[in-house]
Amino acid sequence: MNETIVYNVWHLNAYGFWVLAYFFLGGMGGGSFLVSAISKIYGKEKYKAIANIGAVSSVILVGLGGLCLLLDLEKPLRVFLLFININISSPISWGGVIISLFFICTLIYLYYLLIAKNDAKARLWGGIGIVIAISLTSYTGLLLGMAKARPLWHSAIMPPLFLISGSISGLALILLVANVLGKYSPEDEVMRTLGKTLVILILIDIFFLSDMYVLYIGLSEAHEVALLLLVGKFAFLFWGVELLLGSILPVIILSTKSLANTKGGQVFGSLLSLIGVFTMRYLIVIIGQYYPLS
Amino acid sequence: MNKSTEKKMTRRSIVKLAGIGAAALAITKVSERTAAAASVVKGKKYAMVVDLRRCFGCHTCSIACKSEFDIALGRWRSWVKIVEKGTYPNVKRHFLPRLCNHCADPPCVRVCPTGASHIRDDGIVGIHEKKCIGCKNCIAMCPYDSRFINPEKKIAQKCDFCFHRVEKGVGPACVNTCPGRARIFGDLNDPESEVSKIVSKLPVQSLKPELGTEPKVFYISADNKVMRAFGGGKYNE
Repeated sequence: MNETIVYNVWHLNAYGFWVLAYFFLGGMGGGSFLVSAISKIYGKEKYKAIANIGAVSSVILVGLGGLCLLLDLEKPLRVFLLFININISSPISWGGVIISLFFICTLIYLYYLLIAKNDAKARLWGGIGIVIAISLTSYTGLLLGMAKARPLWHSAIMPPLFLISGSISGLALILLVANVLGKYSPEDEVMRTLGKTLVILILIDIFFLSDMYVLYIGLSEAHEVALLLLVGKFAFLFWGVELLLGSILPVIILSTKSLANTKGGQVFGSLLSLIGVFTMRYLIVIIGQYYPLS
Repeated sequence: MNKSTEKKMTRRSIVKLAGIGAAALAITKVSERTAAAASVVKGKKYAMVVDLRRCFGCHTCSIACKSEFDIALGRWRSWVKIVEKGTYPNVKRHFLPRLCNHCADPPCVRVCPTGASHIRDDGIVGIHEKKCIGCKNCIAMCPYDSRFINPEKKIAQKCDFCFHRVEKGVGPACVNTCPGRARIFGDLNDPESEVSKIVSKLPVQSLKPELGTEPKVFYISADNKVMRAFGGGKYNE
């Protein structure tokens, strides 16, 4: 049967640039805090510089991310209502509390790490921060997952996907900054370990893409969305940029010994994986809202 | 009753009296029944039925809504989706008047962080204008694309069943103005209302029932593909 939509109303997309920027920066901040706190708690003395880089970058990134969220609000001056009227079933309510707690916790952690130089206290606050950082990176996935009518978002894979990709971006950033600052030589065991961990995380992230096949064989709307990603308008971004450039190439670079032990290889590999994570978040935010619901 | 009148009582007057008595009895019975029904379900539950057999796509409801609320360009609280189906000579235009579905389990209310979106006691899903912070989460979560940001007030808005009119006993603007009387508004909890009679007797459809949102806007004679988001065909920009 031949059907044409003669007239319909499509309202504008709810989420745009600022939310995408928050997803990227917030995920990166949470991820770099995770790396920092884990290397502080479990790492040896050698990992001290990594912990410091991660702590500083997570404060900056989550601060910037929070600013992006504030700019996204239509009524930014009413943001205090977020903390007065808490709706227990709303992920945005959790988000407001989680971001504030995370910011406070990171500042305390940073104080004990860099100014007071109290290792025991820094480990304690790092441990508390790990729990908050995991919720910070994964609640954004749950926020999207609550959209019943948007098949790309309405998936239980979203929170772990956001946690893993946030950790990838945080780790890649730390690897990049550590190389630029020249704290370690590229052959150092610390840098090799970071590179290997990044490879493992990216492999887990690639594994999560199996969700696309589930979408492909899913309900009619889900099938259309999967086609858009796999063969349609966004196929180049998905296959070329997210998968090949942003995931497979960094894995090859960081697992080839001759490349992984050089400064150029590490910088290039981490930059590529940052691009991959950004593309993945861009695709999720944009394609999730691409098809109208009315 | 005195003796003289008792004597004067003819057969006709007795029949008359019996008739009045029966009518009075019937009236009390009806009122008893409605009272019983009202005591079973307290309060109101507003709903709308759109009879698509009577809709001819004149967009009067959209215009009435626009003039009732001063909505900005490009935003609509109520609109009519038009889908053309079939190939010549077997073609038909289908009209689907759209508005907020006032779900019994609304996703927008669940995700609203400040409680600005809420369900009133009469089942209408409303927005407290002073509580909305404009996070747009409700817009992203609404399965029916009923919500939008008012560019002047900078808050989320949508159809609210004209509760300012309904509270004063007048029907919503779109219902009052519909020339084909395709839109019928009323109280589902009142067994005597037109809406509850239609919903209980006629086959009615609602949008995306599989999502479990339990919409309170019902359609008569709606086409399955017209009700879907893709309108049957693929969405073309």
